[in-house]
Formats: sequence, C-alpha cells, structure tokens
Amino acid sequence: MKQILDTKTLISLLERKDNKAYQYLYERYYVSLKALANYYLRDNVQGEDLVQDVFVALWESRYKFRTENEIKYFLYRALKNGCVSLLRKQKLKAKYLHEALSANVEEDNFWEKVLEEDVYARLMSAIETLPPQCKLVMQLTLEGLKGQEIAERLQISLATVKEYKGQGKKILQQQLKGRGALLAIVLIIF
Amino acid sequence: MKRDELFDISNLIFRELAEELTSEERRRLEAWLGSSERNRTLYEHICSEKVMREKIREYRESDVQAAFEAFLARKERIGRGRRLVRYVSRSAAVLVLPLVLAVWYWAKDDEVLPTRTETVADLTADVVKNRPILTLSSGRQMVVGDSSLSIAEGGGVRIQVDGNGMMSYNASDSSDVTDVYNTMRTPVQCDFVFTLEDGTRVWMNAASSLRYPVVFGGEERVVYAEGEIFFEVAKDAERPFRVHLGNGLEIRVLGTSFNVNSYAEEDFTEVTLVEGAVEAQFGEKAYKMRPNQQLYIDEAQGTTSLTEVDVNDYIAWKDGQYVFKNKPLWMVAKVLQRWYGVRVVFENEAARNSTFTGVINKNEGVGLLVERLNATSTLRCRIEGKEIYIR
Repeated sequence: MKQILDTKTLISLLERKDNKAYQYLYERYYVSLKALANYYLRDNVQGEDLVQDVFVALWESRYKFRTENEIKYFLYRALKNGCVSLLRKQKLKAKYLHEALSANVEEDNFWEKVLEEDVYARLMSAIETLPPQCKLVMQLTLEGLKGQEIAERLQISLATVKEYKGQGKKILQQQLKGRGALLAIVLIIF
Repeated sequence: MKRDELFDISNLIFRELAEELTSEERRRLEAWLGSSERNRTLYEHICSEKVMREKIREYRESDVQAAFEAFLARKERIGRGRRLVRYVSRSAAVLVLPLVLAVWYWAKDDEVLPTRTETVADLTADVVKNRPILTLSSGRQMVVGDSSLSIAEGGGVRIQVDGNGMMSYNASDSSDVTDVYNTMRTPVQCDFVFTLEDGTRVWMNAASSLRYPVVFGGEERVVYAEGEIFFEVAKDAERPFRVHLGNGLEIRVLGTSFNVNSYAEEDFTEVTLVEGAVEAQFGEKAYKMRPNQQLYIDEAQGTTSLTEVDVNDYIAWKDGQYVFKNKPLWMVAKVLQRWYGVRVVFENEAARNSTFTGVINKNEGVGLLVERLNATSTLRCRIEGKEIYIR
C-alpha cells in the first residue's frame, strides 16, 4: 500500500533533495513519462534514458515549486524538450516522425497525450493506496472483467469480490472527498 | 491547452472514472467537452475500454523500482564524479587511485563474486582500456573486465564471465523470468563479443548498445540495438528473433547471421545479411533479404535500397579490420572516432569528401594509418594530441 504525499511534504522533501521525493514521483509519473517517450521515440532504451535524464534535471534544478502540478509540468516539459532534440538530432524520415514533429500539431498533440497519461497516473496511484487483494480486484474490474471471472481468477468467492469492490470504492471516495475539500479550501484562500 | 486547465480536466476525468462528480464538476467537464469536437474525441479515447486495458497492463508490467534504482545509481555516480573532479583538480598525481577505488566500490555494490583475486593493476587496465558496461535489471552497472566473474541475475539466471572476457547467460531449468532486461554498452575504443541465453552470439562494435532479456520468452526473442552489431542467431523456428533499431526498423529472423550498422548520430542504417533469411520491416514496407544482400536506408533522403554486396567488407570489423572501398573520408573519420577515440578535423571540404580505399587494422594504431595516408595520397595529416588534422 502506498501513501499519497500531501503537497507541502512533497515540496519540502524535494527542497532537501530527499530520495523519498524522487521515489514518490517515480511511482506516480514514471510510467506516464516512459509511455510518452516511447510514443515519440519508438525506442525503449532511449526512452528509458530520457526519463532518467528528466529526473536528473529535476534533481539538479533549483526551481522553487509551489504545487505538484508545477512539478508535473516541469517533468512533462523536460520530456518534450528531450524528445524534440533527440528527434532533431536523428533527422529521421520515417513516417511516424513526420507526424510527431510537424510543428503546430506536435505541441497540441503532446499535451493531449499528457492529459491522457495524467488521468491514468492519478487513477493508478489512487488504486495503489488500496490493500493488496482489494487493489487486484479493482484493477481487474477496470480491465473489464466480470465479478464471476475475477472470482475464478483469484480463487475467491463472488461475495468476497463484491466485498472488496465495495471496500475499494469506499476508500477511493474518502480519499477523493478529502482532496476535493482541500481544493475547495485552496480556492477560497486565493 | 493551458497548464492549469490541463490538470484540472485530467483530474475531472479521473474522478469520473473512479466515482461520481459533483454537479459543479460535471458542469466544468461538460463545458470543456462542448468547447471542441477534438476534446470530445480525446475524452472518448481516454475512457475507452481498450485504452483502460492497455494502461493497466502497462502499469502492471513496468518495473518502476528498477528504474528508480537506476536513477539513484546515476545520481550517485554524478555526485561521485563531482567529488572526484574536485579532488583531482588539487593534484593530478592522485588520479589513478580514486578511479581504482571507484571501480572496486562499484563492483562491490553489484554483489559480484570474483573467482580470482583481482589486483589493482587489473582494474586500472580495465578503466584505461575502455571496457563494456553491463546494466543489470536492478539498474546497477558494472564494468566487464578480463577477470572471471559470476553474477546472479533475477530468476536463477547466472551471468558468467571467463578469464578471456567471454560472457554468457546460463538459465537453470527452473528459470521463469521473461521481463528481466540487461543492457550492454560498449564505449568508444572497445568492442565485445558475448552469448545470449538462447545461444545467439553477438559481436558489438565500439559505441554500440544492446538491450535484451536475460531469458527469452516462449513466443519470440526481441532485442533492441543501436550502433554496429553482428548477430549470429541461434536457430529456433518456434521463436522468431526480432531486432528493433532506433529508427523504427524491425528485423525478423529465424536463424541466420547478419550485421546491422545503425548509429544514432549517422544518417544511414545498413543491414547486411551473411546467411539465412531475414525480413526487415521499415514503416509500411517489408523487405525480404537473401544472403549477400544489403538493405541501405538513407535517413536524410528518406530512401531505401536493396543491393548485392561483398559481405566480408561489412563484417571484417569483427576481426579488427575495417574495409573501405571508395568511401568518403568523413565516413572513415567516424570509424576512427569510435575505434581510437580520436577526433578528426577536416581543414577543407575537398579533404572531407575525398575517397579512401584500403583496410584499417585496429591493432596498428592510428599513427601508422596517418603515416600511410601521408605517403600514398595528396592529403596532409598531422596528429595533435587526440586530434587528427587532415587537409
């Protein structure tokens, strides 16, 4: 089960360059960044290196972040710059690069991809906070499996599956409510 | 899309997937969906079952911990490098010792079990000689030297390095790991031969990298290559062998030997088939290749061609030779750069484009080559430190 760090803790850890901050950011955004890099570079090795470069850039940066969104934006922005410069360097003419590189489309397209990835980064890290069995049930549910199929796959009864589902939903809702309230407070203050 | 809008919308969509939205939130999401057709299409794409399934699989299969550890290792190396630079800048004479310590420490981190006592001199030589670097699945990196080693990788796989620097992967019968990857990188001035778990032999030229699973899965054998690599693929009709290159080219083989030359900094890729049969897929097009054929992709022009060649010219590098037949000198320069770690400076365009025919023997050293060029051509070459000037 993983904890969700609140913004204040995350930022102070990041200011102290504490590894816990990077671990948290890896857990939340690594898969998203990697998926984007692979989409543009079509190269696993290069993609992995680039994502690592992006985190090194964050580690070396002296930027004072105020919100997690700013950190996230920094990571995606750095990834985009990295992709563009790598692709330019390669000067490749394959078809997909034409699509990826053509000037204006590229900018919009990139941030749309970010939107897609970010939805799932949120969803997956919310699911990560659930107890293990419960998490598994939620994952399979989202994958489109029916209750009975999940029960067979995990060798548990249908009733237990339903119980986990209910439990999972409840935990997620509580978390989301908490965050919603936080957001509301922030809106009132500013 | 503005930054704040972007993350607000991603949050709304996420919450919609996980639970109900409040009426105010629903209004915000609807407003965004209604503002353009493109937004709605994007939204439908994101929430589709297909994407959902793909993402969940992606998250389940990603080894975030390994990636994070690789990051920590890199951070540590950068820090160590900086400390080293500060230290060395005080006195150049102490250079050798910190290097030796760093390597020893490195090796220690990797739970490497030396089967022979390594002397300080051995390790220094390894550093000086530019040895290949192996990145284990944990993200840890180690220098592959001339000393015997036995390293435990995930799932009971052992990596064996013998006294001659020969390396192989040995899976015990109980091994059941499909997603554990290693990466081998050769720096400049270094080439390396080793054997993958399925028995495929791999010759890596300088400045190349190969990523491969420590144990191949049941259906196909997939590796990712960059630079110049010669493959002697172990025959296994049940499991096709596939090589992915950085430019999107994919080569499918059953059992065969062939050479790929695809450096990221170059504008071309060459695939040369020695024996057997391969199919190369580039974009929409597939090329079936016969022995003695070469597929040449000119990435700057966007053209491809399939021609008959003398394959020996293209694989002689394995035996420490490079054969050039009427090749422009700039192409020769690239090879010198990778083999000897020197930089070639052309003082005029004519020198750059003049053609070269001849054989470069790696063991001869770059000095002899320069002498030969001076004696047999109208070109004038001189060596200054790590640079060769040609006019």
